[in-house]
Amino acid sequence: MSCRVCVIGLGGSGNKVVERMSGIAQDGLSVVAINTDARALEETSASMKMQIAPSLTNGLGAGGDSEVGRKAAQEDIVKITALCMDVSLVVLVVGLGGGTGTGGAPVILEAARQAGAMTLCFATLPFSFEGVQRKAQADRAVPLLNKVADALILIPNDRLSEFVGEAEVSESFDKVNRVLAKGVSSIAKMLIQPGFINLDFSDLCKVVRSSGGICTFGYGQGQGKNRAQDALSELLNGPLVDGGEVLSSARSLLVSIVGGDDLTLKDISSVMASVTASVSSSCNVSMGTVVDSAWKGKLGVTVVTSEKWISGDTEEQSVDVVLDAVEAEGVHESFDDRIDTRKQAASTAKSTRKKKAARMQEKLTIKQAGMDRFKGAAPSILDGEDGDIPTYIRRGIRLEK
Amino acid sequence: MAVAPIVALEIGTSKVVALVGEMREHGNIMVTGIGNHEALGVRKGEIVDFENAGMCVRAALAQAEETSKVSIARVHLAVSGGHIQSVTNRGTVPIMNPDREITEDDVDQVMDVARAVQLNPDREVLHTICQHYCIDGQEMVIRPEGMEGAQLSLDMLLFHGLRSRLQNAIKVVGSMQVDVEDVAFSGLCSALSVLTGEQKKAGAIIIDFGAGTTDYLVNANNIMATGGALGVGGDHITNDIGMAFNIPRLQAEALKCKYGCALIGDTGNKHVSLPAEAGFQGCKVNLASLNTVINARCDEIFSMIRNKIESECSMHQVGAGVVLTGGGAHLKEVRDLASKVFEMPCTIGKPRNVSGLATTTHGTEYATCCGLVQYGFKTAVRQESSSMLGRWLKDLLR
Repeated sequence: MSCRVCVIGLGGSGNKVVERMSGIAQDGLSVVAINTDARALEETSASMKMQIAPSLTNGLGAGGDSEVGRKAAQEDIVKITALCMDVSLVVLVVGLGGGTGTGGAPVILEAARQAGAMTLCFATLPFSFEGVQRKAQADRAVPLLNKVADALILIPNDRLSEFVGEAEVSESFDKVNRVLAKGVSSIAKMLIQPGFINLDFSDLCKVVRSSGGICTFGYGQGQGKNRAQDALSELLNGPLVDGGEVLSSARSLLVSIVGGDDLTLKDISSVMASVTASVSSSCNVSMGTVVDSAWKGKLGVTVVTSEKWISGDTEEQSVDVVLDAVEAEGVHESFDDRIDTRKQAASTAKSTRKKKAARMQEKLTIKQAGMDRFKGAAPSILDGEDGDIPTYIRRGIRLEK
Repeated sequence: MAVAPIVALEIGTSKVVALVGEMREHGNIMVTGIGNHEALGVRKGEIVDFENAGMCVRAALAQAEETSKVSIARVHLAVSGGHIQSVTNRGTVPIMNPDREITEDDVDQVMDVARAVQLNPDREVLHTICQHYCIDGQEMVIRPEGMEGAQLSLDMLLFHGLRSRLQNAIKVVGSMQVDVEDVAFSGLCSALSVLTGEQKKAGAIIIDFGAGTTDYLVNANNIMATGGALGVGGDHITNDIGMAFNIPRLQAEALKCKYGCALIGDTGNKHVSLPAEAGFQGCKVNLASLNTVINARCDEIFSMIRNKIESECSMHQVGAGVVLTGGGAHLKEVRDLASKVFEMPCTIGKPRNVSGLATTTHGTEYATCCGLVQYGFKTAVRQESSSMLGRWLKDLLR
């Protein structure tokens, strides 16, 4: 059974990501760049390009207005639907915050669906330095995407800022695009190639859906003798996995291992052992293996994790829940009181989050040996912390050896 | 000599000390016997291994008997642990006397009322200490007898601890066929032996930095304002070092005592070597990292004490600064760290008015026992002169 995948890069940043991917195009994978801006489209080296609604925008782009982007996509809906015919999976890569991408993405996804394709959407959320307006525009688009995409993977660019470091603006966007391109291609590969232990789109959907569609991914690659170890360390040091922190809080996890003909069972088991060691026991792990002769001597690991994204939105949601509970109890208060309750609820939401973080910290330290000195005695709880755990660990002080 | 020698016993986390002391002129204590044994089965000031702890107590008592040439039948016991807390309670009684003059009976009555605090059933009161009287809203009255008023109030500071843990300590001693005459909070004892009258008047914080617990007591406004104990101490520093550098306890302890410093300072990239021993292959430790580990722990302990004190009384009432005692006071530059955290001068307090056997060895780590001997004598003297329990406590602790 052949599985055709079409990767669409929409808008300026989507174009740049797929541009990086066109080098790795292979059987069953077509890459298309779609934009309203004719000049930007000209600059990309993607193998297939499509300009939409040149008459609406005079080929000048959407000007950061998502409404223009939406209209542009609708105008050329026939062309887009034709593109998605006979494709089993459409992967849409889009940078939210701008005009074309933000406005056009829901329309394109809907069109792909109509054409009978499954849809997977990778969307980046703007850096905070891009301004409030772009962020608000992106935030408005997320629920729309969630509705039409079978699976949505959100990547807040800010999370990559540590990885980007002191780079200049153009360079930081470039780095983000590279990370995305790697992730998109590795996930697409995982879905296209049949493996020993197969993973298909329904597995991915299961992981993605369990988090309400919001999840993250990591990728690592290794070569030679220590390929399993190298791939793992690259994976865990990846910018989106947050040093393995994301894994420990994941609720479900998809692991895909790609190797050459010389892929051994030992490689697989060592990768799986380390990955499962860093996730919690309640986490639902599914894995797949792909053997590709082009990968001889190499090993790649891709993980997709569902994670409860802690953003401003979720906080507000929980506030509302608490507030609803308060109101349901029939407490009648003046408006001011209500605001107080809201604030309180917000602070409780915050404090539970803090507590959660503290608990995770404890969990980490329990793994360390040397606590048996205080085993028999009651723990010294100091301001809610376990005083028997060394202060430097609780304060997160790094020691030079 | 009317009063028999007093035996003070402290079952600490690092050592068990038994001190035999006689009362001399001007409240001086003459130490005639001392027993000292490394403690086993004690963690954070609490007994976790009955048998081993008992063995240590027996050895310490036997040694004290030998050096003092007396046989020990009764001891005063110092207790500590993170479970010990203090609370201030105000009791109020109306003055029924027609001429409104406050009598001794009124004072006794208000003491009883102030002492009656509702505690959890698993807790036991260790000490009740009078702070100030208040007559019709006039605060800070010291001796109310003979004054006039309609209402008499008294603030009482109570120290209380978990009954089961206190009983454990008493039981260990009891199993040696030795009676426990009295039990005292070790922080209180340390204050008794270390603080000068001037310091008490000006207001001082005494911190007994022990191995398993850190006790503190605050004198402010000429009264005992608050006190308590944290279940962390020098033992935790050693454990932290062991975990940080992955070395055994013994080496960690040696490292702490020999090179450890409470301030990080500028040590450059200096390393210290630990020689190999049986079961230990030797290693090198970065001095700056070592001090960072120690600094983090000490800073946390002091900051926590500061927070606890500030929640009870104002730091402005503490004029004489911080007095550090206990074994932890030997740590290098711990004095500077304490004065940094508390933002006031800090001195190392050694037991005062003590002479005799222990003179050569006595240092900060004997403060509790010396204080406990003094406590024992003071209670004994007061009990002779007055049968009223509250009276001596009040005078003793003023």
